[in-house]
Amino acid sequence: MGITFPTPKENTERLRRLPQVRRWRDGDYTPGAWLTAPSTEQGGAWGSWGNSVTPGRRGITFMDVNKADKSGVPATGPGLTVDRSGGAAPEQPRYQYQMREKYECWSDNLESLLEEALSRQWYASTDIPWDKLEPLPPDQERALCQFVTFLHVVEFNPTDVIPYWMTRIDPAFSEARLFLATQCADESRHMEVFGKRLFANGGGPGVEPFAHAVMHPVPPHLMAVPQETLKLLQGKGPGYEFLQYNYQTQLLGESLVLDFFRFGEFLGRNPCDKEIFRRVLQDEARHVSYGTMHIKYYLEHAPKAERERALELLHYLAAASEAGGAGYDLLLNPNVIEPFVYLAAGSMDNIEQGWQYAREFWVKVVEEYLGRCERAGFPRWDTCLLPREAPF
Amino acid sequence: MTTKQTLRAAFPSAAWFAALQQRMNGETERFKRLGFADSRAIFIVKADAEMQRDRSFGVVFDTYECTEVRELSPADAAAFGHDWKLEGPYGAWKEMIENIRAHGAADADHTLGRLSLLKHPFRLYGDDQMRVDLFYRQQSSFQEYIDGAAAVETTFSP
Repeated sequence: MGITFPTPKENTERLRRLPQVRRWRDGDYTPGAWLTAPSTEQGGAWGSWGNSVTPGRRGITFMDVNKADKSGVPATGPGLTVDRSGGAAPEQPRYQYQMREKYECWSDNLESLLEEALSRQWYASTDIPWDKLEPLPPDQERALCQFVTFLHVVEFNPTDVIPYWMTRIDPAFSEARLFLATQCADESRHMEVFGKRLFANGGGPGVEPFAHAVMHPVPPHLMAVPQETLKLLQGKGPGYEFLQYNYQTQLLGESLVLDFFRFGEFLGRNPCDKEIFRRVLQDEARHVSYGTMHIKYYLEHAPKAERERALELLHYLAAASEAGGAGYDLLLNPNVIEPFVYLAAGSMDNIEQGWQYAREFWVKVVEEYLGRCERAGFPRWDTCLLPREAPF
Repeated sequence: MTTKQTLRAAFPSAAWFAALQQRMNGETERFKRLGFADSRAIFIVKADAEMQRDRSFGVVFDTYECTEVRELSPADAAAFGHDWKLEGPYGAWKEMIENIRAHGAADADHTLGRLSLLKHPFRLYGDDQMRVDLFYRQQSSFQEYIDGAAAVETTFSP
C-alpha cells in the first residue's frame, strides 16, 4: 500500500498536541473570536447581528428572512461557504465558484418558488391513491405504459445534469442551489412514480422511445447544437452555459414535458392516474417558471455586451430547436405521439378523434411556448419556425 | 374537529363560491398536505342557451385558505389583478357540478385539467403565461376547492 497509518495511541498523542487541545487540557477555556469579535458592520469577523423574523402563517419563509436581512443578496458572491450575511476573517481563503454573479442564477420569483416547492413535496408511495387504480383493456394499458415509458426516460436528463450546475453556483445564492435541489428531488420522484406505475396495473416498461425513432425528415445539421452556437458559447463560462441549459431544458424541454403531463391528466381514466399526472405537472410547472424567469433576469441584469450575446444565443438556440433539432421532435416521435393519440382515441375505431386531440394539443403547446419566450424577454411570435398548426 | 354542516347555495352566485370557501377553510389540514396555493382567480360562467348573461367571480387563494370571494362586474374584473381566468359555458359548469355531487369528486371526464386542456368546454387564460402557470403549479389545491361542491346542495338558477 505504501501508506503507514499511525497506531491508535500515536493518533491520540497527535490530537493531544494540537494547540487548542493543549490549551483546554491546561484549563484555559477562554472562548475564541466567535464570541468576542465585532460584527462585519463594525469591522470585525462576525457576520450579521440583530436580525429577527416574526413567523407568519407560513412559518418563516425565505422571503421573510431576506426582508429582514439588512445586507440583502449581493450582486457578486464572496466565495465563502458561510451564509451570505456571515463573516470571515480577512485571511480566510476564498473559493472561486464558477458562477459568482447573481444574474447567472437568480430569478425574481426564486424565493417564493422555492417555498412553494418545499411545501408541495409529496410521496409517490402514499400520496397516490394506488388502490383506486383500475384495470384497463390490454391495448389501453399498453398505450399508457408506452407513454409512461417515454416520461420515465425524459426524467433522467435533468437529474443527470442539475448537480453539475449546483456545485458551480456561489453559496451566497443558496436559494438557487436549494431550488435546483428540489428539482432533483422532483425529477427523481417522477422517475419513481412512473416506474411504479409501469408495474402496477398488469403492464410493464415499453419501447425505448428515442433511438432510431425520429421519423420526420430533419436535416442532419439541425440534429445537434449548431457549430455557430457552440462558437458563441466558447470561453463564456458556466453562467452562459447555464443560460443555454435554462432555455433548452427548463423553458423548452420542461414546458413540453409539462404539456405531456397535462395531457396525461386529460387521458387518465381513474383517480390514481389522474393524481399521478396532477402531482407531476405541478412540479414541472415550477421548473418551467424558474427557467423562464431566470432567462428574464439574466437578460435584464447581465452586462450589456453579455446581454446582447445572450439574446443572440437564445434566438439561435430557439431557431435550431424549433426547426426540429432538439425538443419538438418529441411531438413527432412515433413512440411518443402514437400511444398518446391511441389513449385519447380510446380505440382504433376512434383514432381520427385521437389525432384531432393531438392537433389541438400542438396548437396549445406552441402558443404557450411563445408566451413563455415573450415573458423571458426574447419574443418569437414573428420569428418562430414551428408551425402554429400541427403538421399531421 | 370539523363540524359538518349542510351547505346550500344557488349557482351561479358569490354565495356558491363562498360555500366552497367555507368548506376549504374548514379543512385546513387537507389543504396543508397539498402545499401553499396563492392565486387570484376569476371563474367565469359564460352565457349560453340556458343563461342570459356572463357572470364572473373573483376568488383569492392565500397559503392554505380561500380569503376572498366576490362577484365581479366587468369593471371590477378589469381591476381585480387576476393571475388566471377559468371560463366555461353555464351548461358545462352545471354538468361538472352535478358530476362532482354524484361522485363525491370530479370523475375522470370532469376534472379542471381535463375540461380546460384543449380550450373546450372550459378555457384557461390570462395576460401573463407565468401567472397562468400558477394554475398548473397548484392544480391539486384548485381541484380540491372545486370538489368541495360535493358538499354543497346546489340549486341551479341561471
